[in-house]
Amino acid sequence: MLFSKKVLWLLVLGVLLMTPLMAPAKDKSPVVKVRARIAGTLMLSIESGEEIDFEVDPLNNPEDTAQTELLVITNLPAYSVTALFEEFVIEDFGYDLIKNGKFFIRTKAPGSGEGIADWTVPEEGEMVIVKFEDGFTSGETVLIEYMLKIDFSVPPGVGKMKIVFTAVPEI
Amino acid sequence: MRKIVAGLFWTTLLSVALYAGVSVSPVITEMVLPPGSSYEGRLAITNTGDTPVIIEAQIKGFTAPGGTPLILDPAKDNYPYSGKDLLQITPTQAKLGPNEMTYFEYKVQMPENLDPYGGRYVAVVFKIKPAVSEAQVVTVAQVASLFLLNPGGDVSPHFSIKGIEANQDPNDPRRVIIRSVIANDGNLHINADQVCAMLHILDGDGYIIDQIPLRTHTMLPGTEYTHTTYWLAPEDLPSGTYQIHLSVILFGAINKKTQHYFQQVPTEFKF
Repeated sequence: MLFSKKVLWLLVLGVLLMTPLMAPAKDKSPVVKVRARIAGTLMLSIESGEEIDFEVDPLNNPEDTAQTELLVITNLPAYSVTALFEEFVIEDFGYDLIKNGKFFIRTKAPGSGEGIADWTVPEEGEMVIVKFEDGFTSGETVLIEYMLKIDFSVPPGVGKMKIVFTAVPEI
Repeated sequence: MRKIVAGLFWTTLLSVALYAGVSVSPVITEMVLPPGSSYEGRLAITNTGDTPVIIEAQIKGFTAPGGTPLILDPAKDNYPYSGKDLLQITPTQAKLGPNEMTYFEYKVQMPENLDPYGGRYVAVVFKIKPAVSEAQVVTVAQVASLFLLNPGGDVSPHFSIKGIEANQDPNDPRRVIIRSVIANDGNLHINADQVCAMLHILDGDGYIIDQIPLRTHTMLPGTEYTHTTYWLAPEDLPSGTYQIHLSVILFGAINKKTQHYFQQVPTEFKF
């Protein structure tokens, strides 16, 4: 007997367990070659700071800060987080708080990744806020801090903005 | 003045919404898909939050100018290797309860004619549809699943070393900052695991003083990356002219020629 019963059972069990993993993809053409580099799970949650309001006035309280905490869980070796800052405009005056350098961010990577150490005005379009952060984590927090700093050049009113955070694998 | 101050008084602080999160698997799919062929598969999406959410799927091109994938706004996507039109997904949105998982089916189709011929890069971005909010700032989480599509045939990455620059830290002259710019001007991405790059610091006669391996990254065609390396010169190294030598090796498949690149620049150091 080449294999013991136990080994045979383990082989059968292994094949049964592998089958559902192999089933999902359906090859439509024999010339398509899918490399084995199909892998990884990446999870992003907003733990706190999903909705933020600032309270500022140029005389008594010219700056206010707030923060968002992102929770990342992944089995990838490394990941990054990007952010898209939409316009932050006081509508009645068409005054953009980002373009006029009144809104700043800084970020902190939880591990060996690169965050943004100093207060920085967000870039137009998608920007990288944490890069090359080590993965293989069952839960770590990326911290994003915001600061709104105004003076008497800023017109009165309320501005609104949406920030979209995207978790991407390091490819 | 009072009016201005009153007008600028922005409403109250920080209300934390319900915990919301999304998980995607797989997040990288790399395939060889010859022109005219197609492939179907599926992505598993889980609502990892504690409340029901609507998850929307959007297809966008991406690039990676600094080594990190950047999702492109479809309206401004002029990346020649963007694959935003090559993938379809169904459904485009799904309602999921807490910890519920569902599959989104995709079909990717490589056109018969590719212009320019080369790799295509497309992402499926899964976003939790935000609730209507009156808050000043609303944040949204999304996760991207990336597809790296190789049409096969006449494709290859190709590197150019755009320049090497070494500067001494004004506060600590023995701390040297070396920046090397490498561009992929081929028509296919190169995986980080297929590249080996090394900096050598040589003296004026070509003797090696130190060597520093560079951390490589996957590079998409038409992008460049600046490697920043910090080198601490030995305490007994005298001032003089030295040489910074960068060598990069791109390994390929069987029967594909390994590509070698190097550049050497003389540099004056004053310690």
